[in-house]
Amino acid sequence: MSGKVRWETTCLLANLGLLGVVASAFHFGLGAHRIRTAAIFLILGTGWSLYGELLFHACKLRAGRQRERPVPHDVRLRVPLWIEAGGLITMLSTSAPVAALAAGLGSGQVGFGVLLAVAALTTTTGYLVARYSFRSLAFETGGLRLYLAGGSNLLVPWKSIASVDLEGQAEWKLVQLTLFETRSALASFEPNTPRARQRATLALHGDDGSPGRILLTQWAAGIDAPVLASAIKAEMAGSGTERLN
Amino acid sequence: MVPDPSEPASSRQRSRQVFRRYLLVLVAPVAGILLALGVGISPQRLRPAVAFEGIALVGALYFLVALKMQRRTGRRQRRLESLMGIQFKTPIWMMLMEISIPIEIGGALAAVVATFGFAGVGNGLFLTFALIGLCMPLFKVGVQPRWIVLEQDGLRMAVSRATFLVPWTTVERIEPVGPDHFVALNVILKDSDLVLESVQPNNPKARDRIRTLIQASSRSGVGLLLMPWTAGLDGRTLERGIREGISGKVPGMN
Repeated sequence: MSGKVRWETTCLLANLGLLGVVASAFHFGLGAHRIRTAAIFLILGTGWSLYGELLFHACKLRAGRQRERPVPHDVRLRVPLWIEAGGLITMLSTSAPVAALAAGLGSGQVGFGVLLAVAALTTTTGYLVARYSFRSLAFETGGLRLYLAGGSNLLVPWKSIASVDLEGQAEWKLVQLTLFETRSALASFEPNTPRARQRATLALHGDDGSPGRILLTQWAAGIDAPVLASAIKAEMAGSGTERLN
Repeated sequence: MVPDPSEPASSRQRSRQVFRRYLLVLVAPVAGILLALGVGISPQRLRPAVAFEGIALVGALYFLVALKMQRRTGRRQRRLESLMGIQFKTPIWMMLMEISIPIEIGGALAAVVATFGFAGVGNGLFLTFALIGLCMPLFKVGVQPRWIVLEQDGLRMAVSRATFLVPWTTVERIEPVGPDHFVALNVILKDSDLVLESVQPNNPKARDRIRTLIQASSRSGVGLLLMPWTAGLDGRTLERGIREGISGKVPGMN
């Protein structure tokens, strides 16, 4: 790992540093009410940043554990809520110093509005991404069952997968599955309504019959991207029961 | 025959649905303000809500007018016999369209919050959305071309301070993405060597910037992703221009 400071750590340091400044100002009796509101935002920001830090280490431990165990079969694997919440909490910890600044300048309500806007935007973006991507999956004998939001699902036969690639940077990896064709996957789609099918076509990045592409984000289905890529490759090679490295 | 509700609607019906939702975003805060007045809340207290709603309405009106202008520009560009030698650049009114969307949403949300008496929270909400809106053009710097010229040898583009030429011979294929009025183009290249050789200013920093842009833009090999209305050009028109360039059938060129 390079010596670059992670974003979560930067947020934690910023929140803690500003909290120190606010505590000193409070000690010297400067604008007690304003300072108190700013301190509340910074305490919240510190809490959220700590969550981000703990999440990073918990995910590392989880990835280590997953590397040593086989991926369970015939079980729907989902992203745990504590990982899912990470995105929103990181954004809130980033904007907490801005909210504190607004409170320090005299308007705690403006600070709250900033946090509200950031939360609304992050949640909306997360919802839209989740709606058109596969966030949950199950390893089955016939192939990889992928679930869209709302429970609609399809089965990608192992023989339809042309390649499995790991993309992205060290801290944010994506698993890219390239398919020979999407016809068999779309034929298995349930419930097979035109609207749901349209969403599946979008998530597969390919029309009926054409070569498709599936992108599984970091921690899709709660599995670390490199572990997920190895597990899919192992299934493709017909050695899914072997231990994964 | 009763239509299947799960059946995807035609593009016209979809546009109407989008328009209705769009109106709801604007009409709901107005209804809230009128309701608050009806309940007996003083107009003085509702002044911030009215101001936010006014901003949202101005943003929405601007967007609708600019959308009409954009469609007209698209039709005019599609009628052009030859696109060669023209420098296409995003006009300011088109840039403002992107800015108007977050301003409009932020204004409507702030109006709702202010109607409940939290004008300060509304200020915070609106300022965040406005800041995001104002930063929108900055997000494109270094990622999308500032201008595009279709030349006899290839497609010349300016990204940040660098310019480069994508020779027609290096373009393997183009993949249009999205609906007819909002087409993005994925330009897949055979290789990037000739493109990188053409980078001006000819220094490692500029070449690295273009290399990153080309690699990051496409997942299926080397390529460039040109977003809808890149450099103020309608996607279908740009697609036509590139196809003509690749095939060597360039009208107006000898």
